[in-house]
Formats: sequence, C-alpha cells, structure tokens
Amino acid sequence: MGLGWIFLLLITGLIVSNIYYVASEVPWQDRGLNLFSPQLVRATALTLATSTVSAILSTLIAVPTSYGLSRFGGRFSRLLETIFDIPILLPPLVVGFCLLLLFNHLPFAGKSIDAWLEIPVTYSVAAIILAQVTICTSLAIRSMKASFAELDPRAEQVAQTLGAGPFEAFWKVALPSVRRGIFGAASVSWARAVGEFGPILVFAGTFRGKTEVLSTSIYIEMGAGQLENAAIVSLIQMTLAISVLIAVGVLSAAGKERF
Amino acid sequence: MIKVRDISIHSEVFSLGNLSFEVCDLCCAALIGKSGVGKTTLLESLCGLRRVSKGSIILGTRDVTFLPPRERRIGYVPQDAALFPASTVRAHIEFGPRLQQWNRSEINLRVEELAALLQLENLLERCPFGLSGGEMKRVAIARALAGKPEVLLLDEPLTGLDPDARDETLAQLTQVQDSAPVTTLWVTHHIEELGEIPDAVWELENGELNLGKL
Repeated sequence: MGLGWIFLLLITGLIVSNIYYVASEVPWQDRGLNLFSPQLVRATALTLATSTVSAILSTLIAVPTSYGLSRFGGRFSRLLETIFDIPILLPPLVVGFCLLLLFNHLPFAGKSIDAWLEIPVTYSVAAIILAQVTICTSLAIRSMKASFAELDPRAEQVAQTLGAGPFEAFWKVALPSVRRGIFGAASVSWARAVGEFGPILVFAGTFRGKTEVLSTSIYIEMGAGQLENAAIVSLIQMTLAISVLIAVGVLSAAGKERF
Repeated sequence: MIKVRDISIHSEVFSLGNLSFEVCDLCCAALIGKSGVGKTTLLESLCGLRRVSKGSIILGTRDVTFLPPRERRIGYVPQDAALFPASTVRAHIEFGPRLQQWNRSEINLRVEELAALLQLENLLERCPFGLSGGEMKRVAIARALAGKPEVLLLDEPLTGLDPDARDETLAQLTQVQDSAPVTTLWVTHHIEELGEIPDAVWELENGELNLGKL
C-alpha cells in the first residue's frame, strides 16, 4: 500500500506541475491568445472529431468480434485473440511505420494501396483515424471480451427456445446486458485516441493546419521551444482525459443503481 | 405430447444411448436421477441446445429432431433461471409473445394473467438484480409459459429454494397445470418434492431410462 501512495503522489505531481507551469510561466494575456489561437482551435477540433469517429468505429468492430470470441471458443479463437492484441503490444511508432509501409510499399497488382486510391490515405485526416482505430480496436476488443465473458450464455440459449434466432438473442439479450461495458470500451477508446501520438506522427505526419492534433501539437511546440504553448495543450488534454474518467464514473454509478 | 425414440447423445463428459420415453398429451412426467447422470443433457437435447447423434424427438405432432430451438415451440426453465440481466420482469414475460408477433392487447392480457397466476404483479417493472431465488424461478416460469408453448421443460425448478419459497413455487406450478394444462417434463433429484403433480416418473440411471414408481 505504501508504494501505492507514492504512485498517487506521482500522478498528483504530474497534474500539479502542468497547472503550476501554466499559472506561473504563461502571462495572463497570453493564455487566452494561446488557447484560442487558430491552430490550437483547429487541432482541438480535429482531435475531438477524429477521436469520436475512431471510438465509434472501434466499438462497432469490437462488439461483434469480442462476442464471437467469447461464444465460439477453441484454438482458432485463441489464435485470433492473440492477433487482435498485436497493435497494443507493438511499440506505437512501429504500428505507424507498418501502416506507412502497408499503404505505400506493399504492392497489390503492381501498385500500392495509396496509388490505387484516388485520394491517398497517408498524411491525411483518414490516416489519423486509421492509426487511432488500429490501436483503439485492440483495446476495445479486450475490454468487451471481459464484459461478454461475465455474461452467462444460458440466457441467450433460453431466448432461442422462446423463438429468437441467434442474431435476435445477441441483439435483444446479450447486447443490452453489456451496455455499460460498451460505454466503457467506447470511453477507453476515445481517451486513448485523444492521446495517441506515435502512429499518427509517422503515418499522418504533423502538418500544421492539416494533420495536427493535440498530441502532435505538443511535439511541434516543444520542437519550436514554445514550452508555454506545449503546457497549455497538455492542460487541455489532461482536462479531456479527466472529464472522460468522471463521465465514466458517473454513468457507471447510475447504471449500477438501475440494475 | 413428448415422444423420444432411441436417441443417443454424446457430451464432453459422458454418452447417453438409445433412450426412449413418452409423455402423453397434457400430462406431467418427472425425470429423476442422481447428479451427473445426464438429466440436464437430455433436457437440452429436447430444447435443441444439444445435438442428438441418432434417434428422433417428437413434440406435439411434429418431428423436431433437426429443428433449431426457436422452431420447437417449447417453454424451457433452466436450473439457474437464466434471466435476462437488463430486462424487466414485464419484458421477460413479453419476450416470447413479441417474437410471435402477438398484438399489444393480447400481450398485455397475457402479462396480467401470468403475473396474477405467479404473483408477480408488484415485480413487473423490476430487473432481475435483487430478486429472491423464488421470485427468479417464478419469472422464468412465466417467461416460459407466456408464448403458450406445446411443451414445458422444467430443470429442477425447486432446487436452491428455501422451504417456504419451494412450497409456494410448487403450489403455483400446480395451479398452472390446473388452470391451463400443458405437456410437462419435470427434471428433479427428489421425486417427493413434486407432490401429486406427475402422471408418470422416468428414472435415469447408468445411462438407462426406466419407468419408475409414482
């Protein structure tokens, strides 16, 4: 428990140091200017938009996939589970680098995927979403798998004896029973997408006004020696992450009261 | 009517071979046997949740051996009730009739009828979390009966209940059989807990099914 208190101190230190730096080093008049600068507003909007799309896509992929994994066991399912875990076990930069190679250097009928597409994915907003989805879907599958594993398949079997087909049993019995899990998986995916950096840096680039999101903003500002701006961006990200944690906590508590 | 002819079932743990028995129309038969002899496995085969490797199963007038569970027109009450965690008691009772596309007034009438019969009126808007063992079993029975099945399959509906809840559930099951009889197969450890309900008793022992004594 003693080590736990030290860890708590460390987390508190991270938050306090960011707030302290903005409060002490960034002049009052500059805070507003920096916060509402066109590039930061655009980076924030792009971060929120791409993260939301990625969280929705990841959850949509993760729910049926993890349901299938939990209901149809066996060696093949275990092999698939291991494969689905690869993106979160690989270093994020490697994921980005491999996405870059996949879209630009792996030939399909003589041409790369980007050459086939009329609008290339690499270094575009689509690349940000694809990089986020690659990582977030793995996380969401892990999270949803735990939710479905807790759900007794017997209830779905009973639903089938009452006249439901396998899809209706999934849709009307299993899915409503794991709605808190779905919300949790979507929240975790969203929070991870907001903070994703490595694969975005390599696959989407850090083009100001085009593919700049909050996580790459910090990198750009630090590279330019603008620690004040980096601290403000960092504070925005911290606020977003804590907001998600609070929202998940409040909604989970509400859900517990209902069931 | 339930007519089982020479069915063989292979599970991960054991095999049951060449089982035959019959439950006449609107009768209630008990299937007794010790733990682990395959009572639930046999019941699951009747439900279509487990494949039979040979033989035939006739429920009512139809051969259902190769039909999926949803087409067998059965009411199944599993041992653990297996209620739907996110559904209210009302939604449980409405589940079967909705799938059969009954109209709203028919569904409401059925809910009221079963809620009164099984004393669930005050629980209709509750979710399963927090219900007592006896209440859960009553909800599972109401859910199984709601769609007016041809056959009712009960897997130890009184197991795990305290004596009061057991007496109450037994009285309600008796009332169900009296008010709207349905062909029933009742799986249990203890024949004595069924009182005077069963018309026939089958005993499963060492993979063989024998007609037992009432």
